[in-house]
Amino acid sequence: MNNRNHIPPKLASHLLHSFLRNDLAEEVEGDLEEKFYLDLKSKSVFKTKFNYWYEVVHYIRPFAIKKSKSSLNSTAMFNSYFKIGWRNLIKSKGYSLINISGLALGIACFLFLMSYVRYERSYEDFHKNADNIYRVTLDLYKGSEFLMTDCETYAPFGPLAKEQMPEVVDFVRMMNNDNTRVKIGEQKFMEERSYFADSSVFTIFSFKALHGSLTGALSKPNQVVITASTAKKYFGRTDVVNETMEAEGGLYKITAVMEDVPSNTHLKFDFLLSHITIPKIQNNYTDQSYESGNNEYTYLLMAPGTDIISFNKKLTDLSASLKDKINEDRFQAEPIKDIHLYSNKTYEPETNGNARTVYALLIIAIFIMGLAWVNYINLSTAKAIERAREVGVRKVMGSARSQLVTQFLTESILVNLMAAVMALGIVKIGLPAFCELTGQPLMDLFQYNAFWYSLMLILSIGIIFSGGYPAFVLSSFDPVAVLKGKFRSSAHGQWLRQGLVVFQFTATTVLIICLSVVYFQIKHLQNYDLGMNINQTLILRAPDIDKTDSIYQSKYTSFKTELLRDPSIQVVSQSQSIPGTDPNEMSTTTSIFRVGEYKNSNSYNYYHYAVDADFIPAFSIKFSAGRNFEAGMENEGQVIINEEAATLLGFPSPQEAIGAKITYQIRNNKSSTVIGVVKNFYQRSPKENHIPMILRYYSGFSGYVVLKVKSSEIKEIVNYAKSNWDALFPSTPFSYFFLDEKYNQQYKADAQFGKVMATFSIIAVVIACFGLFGLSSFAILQRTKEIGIRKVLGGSVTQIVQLLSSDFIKWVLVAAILAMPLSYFVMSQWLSTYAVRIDLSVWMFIIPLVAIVLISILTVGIQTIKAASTNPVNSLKAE
Amino acid sequence: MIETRLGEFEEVMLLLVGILGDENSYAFRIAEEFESQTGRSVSIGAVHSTLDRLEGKGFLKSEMGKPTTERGGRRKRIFIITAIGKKILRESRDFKVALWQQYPAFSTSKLSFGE
Repeated sequence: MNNRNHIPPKLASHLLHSFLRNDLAEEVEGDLEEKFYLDLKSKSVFKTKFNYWYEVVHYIRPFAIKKSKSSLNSTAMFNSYFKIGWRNLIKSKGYSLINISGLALGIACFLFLMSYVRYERSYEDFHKNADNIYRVTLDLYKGSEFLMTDCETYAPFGPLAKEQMPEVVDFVRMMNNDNTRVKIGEQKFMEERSYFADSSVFTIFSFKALHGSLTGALSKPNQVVITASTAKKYFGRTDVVNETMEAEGGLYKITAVMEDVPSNTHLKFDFLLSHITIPKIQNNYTDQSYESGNNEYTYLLMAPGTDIISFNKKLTDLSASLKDKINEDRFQAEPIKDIHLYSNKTYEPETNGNARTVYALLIIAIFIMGLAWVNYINLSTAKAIERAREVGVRKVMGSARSQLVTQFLTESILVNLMAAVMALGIVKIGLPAFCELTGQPLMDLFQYNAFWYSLMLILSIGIIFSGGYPAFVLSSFDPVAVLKGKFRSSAHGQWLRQGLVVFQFTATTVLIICLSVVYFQIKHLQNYDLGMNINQTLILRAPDIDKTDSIYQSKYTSFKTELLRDPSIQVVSQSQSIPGTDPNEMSTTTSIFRVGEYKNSNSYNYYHYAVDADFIPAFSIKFSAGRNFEAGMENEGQVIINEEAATLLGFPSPQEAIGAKITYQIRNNKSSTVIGVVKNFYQRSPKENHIPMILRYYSGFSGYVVLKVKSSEIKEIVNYAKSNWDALFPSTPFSYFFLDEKYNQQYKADAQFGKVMATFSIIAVVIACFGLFGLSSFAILQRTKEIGIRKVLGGSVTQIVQLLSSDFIKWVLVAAILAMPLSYFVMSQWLSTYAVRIDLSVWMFIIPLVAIVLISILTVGIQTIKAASTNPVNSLKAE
Repeated sequence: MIETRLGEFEEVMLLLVGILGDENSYAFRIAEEFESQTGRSVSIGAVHSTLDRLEGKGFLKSEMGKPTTERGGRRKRIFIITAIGKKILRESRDFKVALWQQYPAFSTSKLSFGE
């Protein structure tokens, strides 16, 4: 029968042979074959073959599997590998130290930076709905030209979206309520971080209650939910449900106390007031009105699986249908998890992080790790000659190549594990410093699984790649050549080693050049001509009053008169906002008209705030046309605009703006007269472009009191101001700050980035120098005899030093040259995000370059000089 | 120390080795017999592994049979119950019978079930 022609599947037989113990082969194969031919008689060929496979696979059992050859003495072998590895480490303590500490530094840096990256990316993760929560922002358009995106949107939007769009499950509106004065009994506080929030805030976000219930906690007017630390601050305890606190809008009942808001959210607050209270405070506010402007952070909880792109298309359509109310502006949604790193829009609740910074640090982390691995590879292959004889003998004695590989890998595991332990120590000790450096809250890294995963990852990669290459090189030596003594120099991998040195120094030079550019850029920003003078400026928070009445006015006037008696206080002014503060403190408008022109000429966002007559002199802001305000109630209605505003309003020159009438406040249709145009000044930092601004005269507005002082005795002035303040405004705490410090906080993120970069660049240089030090000292060791002979033949120390150093310095120079275009590219990208930026000058490249070359000459030089100046007799006698 | 207790599958294997006798008690035939007696399928590997274990415990011994013309001339490993193997089987049976007899419902009725 043709069935006889079938034979058991070959592949299955191969598989069987590959694992089956030899002594079992005969009987098992026999059994399987017997079954196979028996099956053939009654079953289909396919089924028979399948059965054969099934039986083969079922023979994969411990009893039937081949034992590996070395199984009997594997522990003994590992003990031996371990012992040899350990002896080798001890034998050359210097190299081991360089290797291990370099690796440890690298691993520690990597863990630090990864933890930072993890933290930055963990924003909003604690919300259970995080993946389905979106924030609706408002894209502002001028005609079809996109201007900017505002994080806040209109009050009616939330309810409208929930009603009209099925994918919107719920919404919450949060209206910012900064600079709120809170009164608890007789105690007064000034609070920056609070919102009016819909009660759905607790169903959409995952905040945890500590006392009371969060459900419906903000459903009635004048209810407030405060965080635990706010409760402690106000009452000294946390179980304060049903207590009351006074804030804008009267007395609020505390309905619940919640746990503090985690640090990794963009929306931080100390307390939430019920949103439904707002109409009591703002008379013309209704949920249905677009007139009150876009002042609401609006978050939507969406049905899971909603496609953001098509949802945004629907939002665009919705915006178009509301054209009569919101002009060309468009609603757009963004996932809340993207806000911290990618959003960066106007009126963010807090300054965002920067995805590019995060990725830059990630790259630096990988660089540093790479540098440490390169050290390991370089030093172990350079040392190959020392191990060559050992390898030869082992091979002759019958060692298989795989065993040698295992041996060298064991050594690499040993080194890596020791480095890991050391790295954990570094992390433990250095964590507070690192957290301070990056500005992230101190946390116990060891509790995060991700931390251990990245450690495991970095260890395994390190062992496999940095250990693997030397292991294969070392185990590949031809024993005959080695034992005959023909194998002299470790030319093996010479090119690779040089290439790796070039990589190391290119990476470090790029880092250092970037560092110098960042440094110069920040310096440049800080020293930039702001168009005003913010030095020697003391800012006081204006007194706590509800209305600017005549009593307040007279008190303020006497405060001012008292202060001006001190000759070192030059100007006293008050204003609604000051340069360098949160843009929230200014008002914005896009509906601005020149009276007489009936069309809305454009819809740029104009910023405006109230100032008094002394404001412009206090900041030494220069006029390009017109004049300053004069004091007096009758002058309210006069405005001074900046050049940017004058241009955008269409005035051909500042002079022509003088006397023009403009209207810019929707609720107040009175027109204002432009009496002056000032040169542009940086209300916000020079990182951004100039913004169109309107300073409006107001005789009695409180916000800030500005003191321009001229003295080094700042402390006395502060005390003088405080005593006057306490006498006149006893109910308001006296709080002050220096404007230049506050203003410079705008560069905090940049400065921090600079510091982080500086720290890690220095570590990178140290690691690279470790490697260079190891390599060069090894090379010198190998050439001891050569040096001796050269000296005997009349070579001078200088010549020898030159000879020895040039080998390494050559490659450092190559690296430096490679680094130039690379860093030029990276840095011009980085600078392009700044409105005011330095030009990349040659010096920014030359200085770091020279520094790197000098450092490497120093690293190599010390040893070469030592080697070159030893007595040749000693080196020649050796051996 | 070698485990000397007998599992249920092991006990069946021992019995099957005894039933099949000196000629046919090799892994494949035992597996076949197991299937035909119990209706449960089993892989040869599983049977072999158990036989190997039983041999380790000393309940079985084995030797290679004579080459035949079947199965490509490959020899079979024939398993034979040892004296200890027989003893443990007997003990196992006696133990269970003793247990059965202590069960009041069965002890008087010659192990017949029900009425």
